[in-house]
Amino acid sequence: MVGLAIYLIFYNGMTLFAKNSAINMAHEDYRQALQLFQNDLHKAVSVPFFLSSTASAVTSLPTVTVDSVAYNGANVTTAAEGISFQVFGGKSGEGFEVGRNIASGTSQVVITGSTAVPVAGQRLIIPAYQIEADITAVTTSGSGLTALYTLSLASILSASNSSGASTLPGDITACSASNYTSTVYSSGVTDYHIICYLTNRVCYLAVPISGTSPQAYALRYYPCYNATYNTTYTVFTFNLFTAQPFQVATVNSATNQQYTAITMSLQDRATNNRGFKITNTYFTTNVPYRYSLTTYQ
Amino acid sequence: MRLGIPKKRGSAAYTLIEILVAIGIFGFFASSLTWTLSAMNYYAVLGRLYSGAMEAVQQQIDLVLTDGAFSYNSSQFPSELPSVASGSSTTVATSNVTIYQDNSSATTTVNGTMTTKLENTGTTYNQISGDSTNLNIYRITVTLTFTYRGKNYAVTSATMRAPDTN
Repeated sequence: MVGLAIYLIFYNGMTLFAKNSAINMAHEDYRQALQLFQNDLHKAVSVPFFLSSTASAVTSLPTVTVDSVAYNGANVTTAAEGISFQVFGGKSGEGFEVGRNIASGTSQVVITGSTAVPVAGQRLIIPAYQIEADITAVTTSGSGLTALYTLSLASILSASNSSGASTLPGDITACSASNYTSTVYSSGVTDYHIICYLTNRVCYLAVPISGTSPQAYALRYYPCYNATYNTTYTVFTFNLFTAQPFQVATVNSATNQQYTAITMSLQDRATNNRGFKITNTYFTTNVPYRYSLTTYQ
Repeated sequence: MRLGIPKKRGSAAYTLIEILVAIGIFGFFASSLTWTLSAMNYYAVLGRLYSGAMEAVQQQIDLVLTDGAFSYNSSQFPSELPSVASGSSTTVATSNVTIYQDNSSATTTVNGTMTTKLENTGTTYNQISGDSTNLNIYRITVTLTFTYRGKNYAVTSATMRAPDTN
């Protein structure tokens, strides 16, 4: 009798403890995943686009294809495995200035005016000329605010560029680093101060974890995502049970492409559901992007 | 040969008092354990509910900040931002706002009531000439109340929005 009582007390105690751990685990993962995603999407400077993943294991690099129609008016009700958008790189969106003339046909651009050193993998955005291209290499000369950063771009800047990612209507002339430091502008002197920015293309992607039943997913965060730089990521959670968390949201009974609906079901995979309920964290919410600096996604 | 006074032999069993004391200590330990773990679960669930409530409030804040177009003098008012006279306020209540939903059974277990208070602050821009322009800046306060195990809880967040064009 005494033994049975002791057994029941410890059994119930362990059950309650496991339930507590499961709730807290799912809750913590929820906070990590959603709040960081929400913070990033609020900072987005481009229109997001969705990604489809065909990865089969969490250890492998997913093959990702762009769901190009997701934000273009069609197929907006289809959920997707991933979402990608650009946020400011460098020091919280600190602007740069074009430091040298840019001739049509080049793939190098010199920028200056900031101490935030560009890094390969970022994107160069020159809004006035709709120049948007991935940076493949950076060389620096000088220091401080007058340092010159020579950016090698993944695409050639020309008016006939067929990639659609970068176009150059004409040569950008009369740009020089000295103009940046000049404070006196006399009449008749042609000085152009062409502002440019750096962005990081971030990505959130749900990737299936092999050998799990029911199927679980890892939510990866790529701080810099493009065709070359896509191997560095952070896993926010291994306890995701939603295959396609991202979708265009329905707001006031109509699909609204400014809002991304995110739906996630999280549950601690280390414990089963023995004897207790609702240890999961399930949420669905709409998050808008608020600003679009870039012309292209 | 044994010498001296023989020792008194000890009892072979526990006394009733000893057993009652042991049961008491064990019962105290067991009830404390159960109470503590139940309280931990209560606060864990409550924390999760607060997160859900915060998320619902944030969604409403996002909506009133981004829905448009909002132009006071052109009488363009999105559904979340109705016309409010300068210095006045209005409150919109929405019931059955989902705070927590069980994903395995898709049943909602905790709902709340969201109230959105919109107040035209009456802030003006005063020019040197003496003219004054009402900026029609709204102060928006979103409160979500819910009940869990007989106790009432509330989450509140506030923001401000100026018209896109005045």
